[in-house]
Amino acid sequence: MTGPEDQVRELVARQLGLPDVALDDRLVEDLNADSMDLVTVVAVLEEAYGIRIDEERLPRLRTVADLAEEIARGREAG
Amino acid sequence: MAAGPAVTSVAGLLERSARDTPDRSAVVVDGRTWSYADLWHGARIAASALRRAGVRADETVVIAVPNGAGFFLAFFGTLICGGIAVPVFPRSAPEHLSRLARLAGASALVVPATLAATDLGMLAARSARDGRTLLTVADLGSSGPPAPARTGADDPERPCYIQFTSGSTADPRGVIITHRALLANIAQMTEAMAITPADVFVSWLPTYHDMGLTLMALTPFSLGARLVLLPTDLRDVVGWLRAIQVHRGTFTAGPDFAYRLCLRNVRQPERFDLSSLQVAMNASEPVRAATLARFEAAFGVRRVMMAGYGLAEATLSVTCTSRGEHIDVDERGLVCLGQAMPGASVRIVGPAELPPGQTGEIVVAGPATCSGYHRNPAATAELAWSDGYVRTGDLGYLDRAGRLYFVARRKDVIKLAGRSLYPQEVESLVDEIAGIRLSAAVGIDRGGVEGEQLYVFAEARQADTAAPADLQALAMAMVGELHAALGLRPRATLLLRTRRIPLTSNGKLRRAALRDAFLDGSLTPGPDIVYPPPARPAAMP
Repeated sequence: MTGPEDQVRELVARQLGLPDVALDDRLVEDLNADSMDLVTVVAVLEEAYGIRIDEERLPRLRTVADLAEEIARGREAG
Repeated sequence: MAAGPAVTSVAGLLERSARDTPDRSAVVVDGRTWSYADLWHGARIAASALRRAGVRADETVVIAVPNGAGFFLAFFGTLICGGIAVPVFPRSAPEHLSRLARLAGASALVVPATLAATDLGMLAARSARDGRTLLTVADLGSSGPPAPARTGADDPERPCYIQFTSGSTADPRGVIITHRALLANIAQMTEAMAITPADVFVSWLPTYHDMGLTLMALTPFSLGARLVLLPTDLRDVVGWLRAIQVHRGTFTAGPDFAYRLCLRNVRQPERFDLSSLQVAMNASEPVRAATLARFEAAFGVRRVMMAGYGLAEATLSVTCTSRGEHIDVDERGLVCLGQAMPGASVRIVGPAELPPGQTGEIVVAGPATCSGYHRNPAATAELAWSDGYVRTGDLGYLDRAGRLYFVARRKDVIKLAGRSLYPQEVESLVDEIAGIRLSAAVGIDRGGVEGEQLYVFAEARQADTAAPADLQALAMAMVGELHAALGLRPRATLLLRTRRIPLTSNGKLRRAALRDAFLDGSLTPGPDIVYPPPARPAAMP
């Protein structure tokens, strides 16, 4: 059984074409994501979890863990 | 505008602005303001460096430099040498940059000074092998006498730049834009969009693509107007809006996607003061009617949206609506894209010319249409319709007033945030990966803010026997290869069992049928799709 954090890691890794990513990996600096990748990663997560992430928050979403937290927040709010 | 000899080259436009308005700001970028005198002087020094590096007239120079002053120094420096500029996506992996440089037959390659040492080393080795000079932007500013100011007329029929719309080795699409075509399109856009030297342009569009280069940079430069140039970062729509407010921008442009992002992602849009804005050009991907009305309502601006149609094969702009005009939407929700540029002609054919209201292929003629593709006579021959008209492959209709409505995209071309991508370019890269039997690339727009996205389907040779980890590694190799070559990652990378990609009886890919099978669920995870594995139900937090 995997938790939402593991699922987010898996989805981010698949999207970026990486074997695995860690929760504290930084999306841009460590994982080499560009702005279009971030838009796509957010779209993939939104579709998977049925939530919406405010793009203005994107600059604050620096790590994989930040994304997982944002999803937890979005699901509580939704 | 000051009188002077007629300008017959694109460098001549900048030279004229440097002579007539030397102290006006040409470009504000990276925290520095370059006057027209500064920019022209820098371009002449760059030209001198390129000449010392061996660049001669009619030779091509590949420019892989992101938005910044360095791009313009390389671009105009090349033109002053009489060379042909080839702007390309700046973040490709070294082997792919080298491949493009070979396709273009480049005698020099210009890259940013900030490139990693390993990449520079690899590019240097390949350049040496191919007999090409490698320069960084820093080399272009190195001390040396500026190239002499240009005198006399140039031959406007010479190529000015080549816009690669596909870097596929088998079927490269490098559109050759002559000085005549580019000068003509700049003059057409200036008139049709009522652009004046008082306009302040604000742009984040990449300068290595036609709209960011021709409309948003060369057009203001030709008038002595000011350009505020931002990095190409779609994430930062707030930075874009703020730059319009701070610099009192009057003219900006972007694909529909960019305006949708502003609508969706900017909370309290009323806190931005966009009152200076007169034109927000919406072009290079289908314009959505909802975006026009919602953007203006949300940001408290009126009649700033301008819709347009164009393609690289016509330099850039073919039609646009008028400045300050209300944009019509037809009963089907299609957005009016305005009249043909002055001196240009748009017809709808199928194959004979069709009357107003009937949908057919859009063909265009005029002083800005291209003469063909670089080193690709087969594609060049297919481009010509007749009477000097160029085929677009796009479907549309003209209303009784001669205004164009776009109905459907040219077959199979994928639009990603305003960028056109040929599926063959993706497939040729994927098909070379060991373990892949056949691949197909399609664009799918699921209606979300992100717009159309790339989906890559590939039949895996060992799909029936491979371990999940091997399939995952294969998918990763595909993503890695596409990112290295094209600077993008697909929205989805799907591995299929063999013989799942539909083909015609003579073996051609049926991409539309594949897309439909995926969307209607007849291509199913497990029996057909072996990667990614079927989704597990999401665990509750």
